[in-house]
Amino acid sequence: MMFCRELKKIIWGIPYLLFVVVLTLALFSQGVLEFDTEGSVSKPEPGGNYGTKNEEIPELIMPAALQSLYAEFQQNEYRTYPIGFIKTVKLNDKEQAEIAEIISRITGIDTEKLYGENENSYTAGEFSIQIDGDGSLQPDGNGGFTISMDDAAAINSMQEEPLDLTVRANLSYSEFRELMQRADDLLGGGSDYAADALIGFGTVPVTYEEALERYELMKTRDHVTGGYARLFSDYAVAMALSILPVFLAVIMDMKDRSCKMAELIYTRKASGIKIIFTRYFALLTAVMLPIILLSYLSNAGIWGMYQGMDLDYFAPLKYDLGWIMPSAMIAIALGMCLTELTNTPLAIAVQGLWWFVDINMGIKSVASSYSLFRLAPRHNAGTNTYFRTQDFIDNFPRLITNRLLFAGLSILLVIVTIVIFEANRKGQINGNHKLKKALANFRNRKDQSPA
Amino acid sequence: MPILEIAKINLRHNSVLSIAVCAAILIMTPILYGTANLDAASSAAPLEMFVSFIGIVLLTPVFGPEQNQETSDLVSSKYIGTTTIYLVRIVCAMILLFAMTGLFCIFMRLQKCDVTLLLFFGTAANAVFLGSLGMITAALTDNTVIAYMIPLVYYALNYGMGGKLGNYFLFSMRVADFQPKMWLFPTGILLLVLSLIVKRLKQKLL
Amino acid sequence: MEPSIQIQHLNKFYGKKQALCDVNLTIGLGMFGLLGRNGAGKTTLMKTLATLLQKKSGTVTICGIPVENEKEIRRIIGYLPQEFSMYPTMNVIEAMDYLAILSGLSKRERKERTDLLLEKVNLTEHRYQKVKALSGGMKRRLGIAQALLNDPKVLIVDEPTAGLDPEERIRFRNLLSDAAEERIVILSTHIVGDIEATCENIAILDNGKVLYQGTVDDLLAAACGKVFTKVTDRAELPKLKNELFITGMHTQGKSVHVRFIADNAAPGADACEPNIEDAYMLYLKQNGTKLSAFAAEEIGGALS
Repeated sequence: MMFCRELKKIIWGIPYLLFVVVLTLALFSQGVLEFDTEGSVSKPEPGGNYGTKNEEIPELIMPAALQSLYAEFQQNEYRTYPIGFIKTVKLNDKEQAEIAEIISRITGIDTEKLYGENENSYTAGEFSIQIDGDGSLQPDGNGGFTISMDDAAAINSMQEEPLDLTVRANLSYSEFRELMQRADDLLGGGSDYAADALIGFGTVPVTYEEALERYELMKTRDHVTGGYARLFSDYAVAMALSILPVFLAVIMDMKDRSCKMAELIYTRKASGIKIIFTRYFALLTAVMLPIILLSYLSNAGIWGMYQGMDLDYFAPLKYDLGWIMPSAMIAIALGMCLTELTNTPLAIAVQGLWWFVDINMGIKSVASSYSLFRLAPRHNAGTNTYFRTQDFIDNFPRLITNRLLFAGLSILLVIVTIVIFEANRKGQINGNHKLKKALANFRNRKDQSPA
Repeated sequence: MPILEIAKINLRHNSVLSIAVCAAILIMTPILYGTANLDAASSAAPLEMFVSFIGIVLLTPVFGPEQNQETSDLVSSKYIGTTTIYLVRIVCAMILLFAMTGLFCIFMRLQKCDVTLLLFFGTAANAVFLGSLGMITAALTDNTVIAYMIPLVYYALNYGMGGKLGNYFLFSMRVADFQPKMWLFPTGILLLVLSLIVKRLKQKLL
Repeated sequence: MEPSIQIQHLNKFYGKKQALCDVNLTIGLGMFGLLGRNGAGKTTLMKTLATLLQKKSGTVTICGIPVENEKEIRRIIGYLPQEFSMYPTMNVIEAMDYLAILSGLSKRERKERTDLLLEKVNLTEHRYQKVKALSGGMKRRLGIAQALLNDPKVLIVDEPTAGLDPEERIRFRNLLSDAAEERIVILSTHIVGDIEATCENIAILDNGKVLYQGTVDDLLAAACGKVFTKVTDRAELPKLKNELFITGMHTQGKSVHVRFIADNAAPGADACEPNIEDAYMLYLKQNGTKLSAFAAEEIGGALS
């Protein structure tokens, strides 16, 4: 009864309409309603190209990482991704010297030699123009000439013996990792050389047998629809459900106050536990309804492509409740709690910042990225990788721990909200943040002192 | 007119939280992204993607204190009406916005980043545009929270759509394109003026 | 020149709904009461006078100044909305000082007026208390104090006593009476007791129209001989409610004293002296306002 009234209050209003529109737009822009356009996944045929995968093969990783580091060292331009988007780092002389030292320890080549090469190639590219007549020097239309870097490098390589840049034979992989991690630290983190990112250099092709195995897993474990539902959840939780619900929660809470409902509610008999939990579950229901609808709209679009297969029609619902809902839960709980505490939209700033940082950290590892405190778990694997079911299965316990943690944290926050609500009701806090109160006291003291 | 007095009181009673949130954003930026030894394009990233936020925080709540109808009526019935107060708050917010952006740019320069005046103005243009988006929403809906939501959603849209937003793309300086700033800033000012007009019309007619 | 307010052919619409309909009023020095039910247009009229709303047509002048001349009007009016509310972090003295600045007072005037007025409304000892933490009565008194900051010629007070306890209500009426000695005070109310205690001149507003303007005495005179009382059994009350236009009742054991309006005395009823409440109800009834027995009871409740 109270629940229905609360739900109705939320749903019949501009804020909710706006929520649904923004939610739909956000998901639509990620293409979740057009999964069918990618075509269906078919059984791999022998002799095809099945994409690549990364594996921790030291023999592969060490030379590739070394080459990359040396190239960036020469340019003094290092690409890093501290929180998702690229940041080009320039190092000062001292730091450059340390990188040189690292390369030297990996290769056994003297640091001065590393520099020498660097300076020579710099000179070659910049100043000495040698025309070898094969047209690599092009007039640029402004009366000048353009030399492409490749040509300059080619010119350079003709001048000097290239350095033999190989990993020392007696260097162990763990030592290598340590050295590379030091380089990453020098770069401020987020580079490809971080110990947990080195695997990116170990790119190997997926074999036919592996592809076949992936395909079978997709059929037997995911029942096809599970893979699509997972992809939907990946986008939904990252782009919408770990941020948008906080707006709805804050709006509903603040609306109560501006309509003077708060005081009415305070004097009512219903217990704080009942009022807050009812509102919480009403908000959660309101948030989950369109998501369930959208997840089925997204999923049903591909059912026709897999006729005759054993599909799991409950997959979207399972993922909605298990994967997406805990993120929505925490956003709503935080929104309610901070609004009850401060009576300001502070929750938006807090959740917004959290979401922003989390999403950008998540971009670095969008597949089976379920670390304990990841607000928006990612598993951005589509049809071209057969949804990477094995990765998902391997990391499933981590995902469950993460999601349970968030659900539990949410309930805890709701309980805190109830405590604050009851305190407000008795006039203990009087809708004022402790900090604000402290500030006010401070101000009052200042005002009173001259009086 | 005691403009300074009004400004002082409003800063103290209505802006403390906003300023604190701005400070938090500015302090978080070097921690999250790192702001040392960056070239011009890389410097644009923290400026456009983080510092721009202070526009939302500073400008959106300009109409907030009078959201309560009784407060609004009370203040409007005085000799110096609400429009003047809004103007004072806007000017204060603008000064804070430019000052904070400027300070951050100086901080980045001290950390050996290639921050130019162009980057400074571009960042301020972003901030003004995002903030004015919040203000016009606040004027139209009278709901502070929705007013915060719209510029934030627009910001997020820039991630998803990127350059497709054309002259209203917020993160253009990362590819050394300053053209959008010539659109963002004037549009921001226009929206700002428009929101004042909307506010006045609504009060008189409704 | 003695201050006065002239309102001629005033019309105001909210969308298509007409909130004020050809209102004509002349208001002179002293206390003037606007009586009407919720939604009768009282607040709209007061907000128009306070330059908060734009009229559709008609002329309104306050002390000879047309109401369109907002700046000048705001110099000479003081306005207290139904509920006094300020920025949540402000305490009493800060709120007074801020509103004084907005009223265009100089620094010296501000200090003088604030101290004087807080003393007058008995809030001096609460001056460092948060406005939102004040009791309803204290808030209302602070409201009056701030409305008097610029020593206005016209004081406009919307529903000043709603929600106050009897003691605070009397205190507040006295404050208003004091203020009315040298200025126009317009107060709107649906509580007839406020009018009875303080006003000589009143207007009754219903559905945006002025039903009555004149003195309280004239209003009472018009109701003479049309108000009766009857003692009846409680069991009969529901039946009576359907038959009679009841304006008040009180219960004594099993019997009920019922007060009602009628053109002729019903059997067993005695004529009695009308009070403002009766006269007001009679006026609404005569002007075709639909008043169900329930509504009458509701207003009666508010009146008593």
